[in-house]
Formats: sequence, C-alpha cells, structure tokens
Amino acid sequence: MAKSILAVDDSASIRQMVSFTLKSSGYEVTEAVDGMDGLDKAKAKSFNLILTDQNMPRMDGLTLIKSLRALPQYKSVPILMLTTESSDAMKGQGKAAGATGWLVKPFDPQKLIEVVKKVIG
Amino acid sequence: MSIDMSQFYQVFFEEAQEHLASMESLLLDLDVANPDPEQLNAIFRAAHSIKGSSGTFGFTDLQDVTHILENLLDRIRKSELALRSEMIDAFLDAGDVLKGLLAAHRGEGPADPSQVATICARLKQLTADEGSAGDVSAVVAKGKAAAGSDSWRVSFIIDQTGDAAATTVENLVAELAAHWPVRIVGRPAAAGGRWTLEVGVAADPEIVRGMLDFVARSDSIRIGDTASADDAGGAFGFFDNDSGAVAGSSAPADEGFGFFDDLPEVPGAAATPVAEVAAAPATDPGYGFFTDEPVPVSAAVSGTPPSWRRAPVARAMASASLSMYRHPRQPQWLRWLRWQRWRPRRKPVLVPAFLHLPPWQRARRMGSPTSRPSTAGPRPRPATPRSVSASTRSIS
Repeated sequence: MAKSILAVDDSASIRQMVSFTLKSSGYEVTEAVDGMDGLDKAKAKSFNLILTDQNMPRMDGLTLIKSLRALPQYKSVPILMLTTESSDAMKGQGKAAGATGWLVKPFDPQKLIEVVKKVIG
Repeated sequence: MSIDMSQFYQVFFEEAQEHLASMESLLLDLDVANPDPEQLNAIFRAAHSIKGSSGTFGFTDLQDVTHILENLLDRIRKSELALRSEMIDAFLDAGDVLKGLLAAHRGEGPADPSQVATICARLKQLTADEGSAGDVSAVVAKGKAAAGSDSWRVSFIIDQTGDAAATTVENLVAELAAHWPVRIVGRPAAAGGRWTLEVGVAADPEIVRGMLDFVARSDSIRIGDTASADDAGGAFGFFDNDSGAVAGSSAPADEGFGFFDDLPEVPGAAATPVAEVAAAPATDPGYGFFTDEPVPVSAAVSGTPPSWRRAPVARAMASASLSMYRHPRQPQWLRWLRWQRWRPRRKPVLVPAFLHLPPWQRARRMGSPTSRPSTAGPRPRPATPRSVSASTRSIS
C-alpha cells in the first residue's frame, strides 16, 4: 500500500509541486492549506509522514507540530518542516515543538524525494 | 526522475500576483504611526511566501528582492525598527518592481535591471539605517567604554516581559555567576528591549551563548565586544559546532534538510525531543538530520556480528571452555597434548596397514606367504615369524 503523506503549505504553487513530486514517486498525498486545515485532516485520517510549512495564516507550522504531537496517534509519526529559515533559532524551535527534521526552502523535487525516502522509505 | 518545473509556473504567477495585490492594499491601509501588528504580519507573510516559492521555482531575481524586503519587514514586525512613511513608499515601489519582474517571467516584456538594483539598494539602506545606528552600536559603545579589558558584554532580547523577564534574567545571572563574575549593566526601558550583561573576560562566549539561547531570542544575542551584530552571529555557532559531528554523520554537508531527533520508527529512539538542540553543521544550509540517520532497523543494530557469524578461530577464542588452553604460561607442547586428549576423535581413516610396514611385516599381516623377503635381504628376519603366527592361528 502506498505510504500516505500530508503536505501542509499555504502556497498553492508549492503545494502543487510537492504533491505532484511525491505522487509521481508513488506516495499518496493529501494537501492542506494551513495549520488549522492540516490538523483537521490529520485527525480525520492517519498519515505516515507530515510535511509542513512554517509561516502560514491561521495556524503556523510550529503550532501545528505541537498540536499533532499532543495527539496520541501522532506521537511518533515523522514530521518535517519546510522552512525558508535555516537559522539555529528556527531549528531550536522546530526541535522543541517535536519536529523530526527540516528541509530548507527553496528545495528541488529530487531533494524532497530523497529526504522523504530517508524518512519513510 | 526529473520533474519539469515549468508546469507549476502558472499557479506560481497567479499566487504571486495575489500576494502582491494584497500586500499593496495592506500597505495603503497601514497606519504609519501606529501600525496594526496583524497587518504587518500579513504583509510580511506575503513577501515571505513570494520569496519561498520564487526560490523553489528558480526565479532568483524575485527571490533576491523579496528576501531584502522580507528582512526589513521582519524587523519592523518585531518592533526592532520603527515604521516610517518612506519605508511604505519603498515597499510599494518594491511591489511594482516585483510586478515588473513577474510580468517579464510571463513573457510580457523585459524587466528593467536598473530598477531592481535601485530598489534593492533602497531597501538595504532602510534596513541598515537603523540597524547600525540603533541599539546594537549603542550597546557596543557602552560596553567598550565601561567594561575595560577584564570583562566583555553580551546583550539580548527575551520574549517575556515585566517581572517574568526580570526573574528569568536573574536566574540566568545566577547560573552564569557560578562560573564567572557577571552583572546586569543594562535593563530594557520597555518590553521587548535589550538586556545587557557584563561577563568576566575568562568566560567562554560559546558557553554563554548556549546558556542564553535557552532564555533569549537566539537571533537577538549579541556578544558586545564585536563591532557588528552580524559578526557576532557568525562567529559563535554554538549549536552548530556542538552537533556538527552528529548531524554531519547523517547527511552530506551540502544538503538542505535535517532531522531533529532519532526517527520515531527506529526502535529505542526517544519520541520526545531531547534537551540539547542539535542542528546541521554550519556548512549545511539546507537539510540535515538532527541526530541519527533513519537507517533501516536491521542495519541499526551494533556493528559486531553475533558470535556464530564470526570466524571459527575468533569463536573458539571467545568460548570459555577453551580458555584453559590459552594459559600464557602453559608450554605449547602441553597444550597440544591436552588438546589431543580432549579433542573429539574422528572416525579413523582406513589406510591399508601394509603401506606403513616393511615388506616382510606386510606379508605377515596380510597372511600371504608370497611376498616374503628373501633370506638375502639386508635386514635379518625374525626367527620364527611364520610358525608362531601359524600356530596361534591354529590354536584359535
């Protein structure tokens, strides 16, 4: 069965790129437009991996990660943040929120696939 | 597999246009004297979003302009800079330049590179104006004037306000005081302002920075005796250096991602984040795992194979029952002898006995008279070999 991934990003173009890329490598992708939406979708269905942007309206990535980690079914699901900031501060916050790792934007599709493969195979 | 990025351009163009339009209307709406933080956030997010996706799709000119724009907006958003009307003008102009660049990418006429350069310079100027003249240099100047050579200064901003902030700083000072002389030399006039500490010259800036990172905003920490904030930020990468070995082992240095922790699916890995912050090495701007690579479970076990997979000699040496044969003071021959006694006996190999015997004995064993040596043989024959054997045989 295909591994399912939740891609959370407020930018439609990034979302499209991410989901196209992952779908073409055989993953099943669900898109969410912001943290709130992502959280709702994550509650409705279980995913093998969650990719989330940091800067989003309504609910940002860090809050999403924290909320997901508070849910029992997402205690150990890998969560990657896609972020334009690679600063230590951001990494520290991401780690504290419970993220598994980060991927700095801009990234190319190959790198995305590479990272996702590293995490969920 | 390569993916044609141009298929996503259309969505990007539409999205960027929307962001630019909303940025413009928000800017026109903004009250310069008393900007609404929510509006500032929204403007910042628009610039940030354009920056993120333009970089992803390879529109570096858009990315460069929005990057500078975003930096300035970020500082205003965090109240590090006061908003001024010329900034809004610059933002609006930047928006126009971005629209021009976007149109050029859609094939609607060429962009004007000089305009781009001009707006970049203007935005940078606005960022630098107060960046260098503001709190940082004041802190540094004060630090140099008062500190002398036996101490240096560090300043930072913490997110808490009022008494909570004071308590946090007091705790921090108490912690630092356990190692080096330290005192508070500057308190913020208003919430969100800078704290300044004076620390003994022996103090290790990296360790101080590491301690501060737990309470202060990391990007606000300035080690006082360096002239510019950027220098300080670049010089002390405490978390970077600290975890470089860990993260570096998991990801090649030039990749753009990272992991914060052991991956959850690896057995035994802690699902909760550990206390110390691990990060990619400084040479790794893109990706990196915070600690271990997500290796498959089977490969994640220790490097030593189980005893049954090791070479026979090693296995034998590891087995306790044979250790007595390896006593250092035991002579080799005795060892051999004991081994001969104890070793499992093999089934004897059936070798025809006569091959080991002189011909006359062969003949006797075979019970055949034909191959008896002649009396002229070099060796004396035993006296009555045949008769004895014959008699015995007859008796039995």
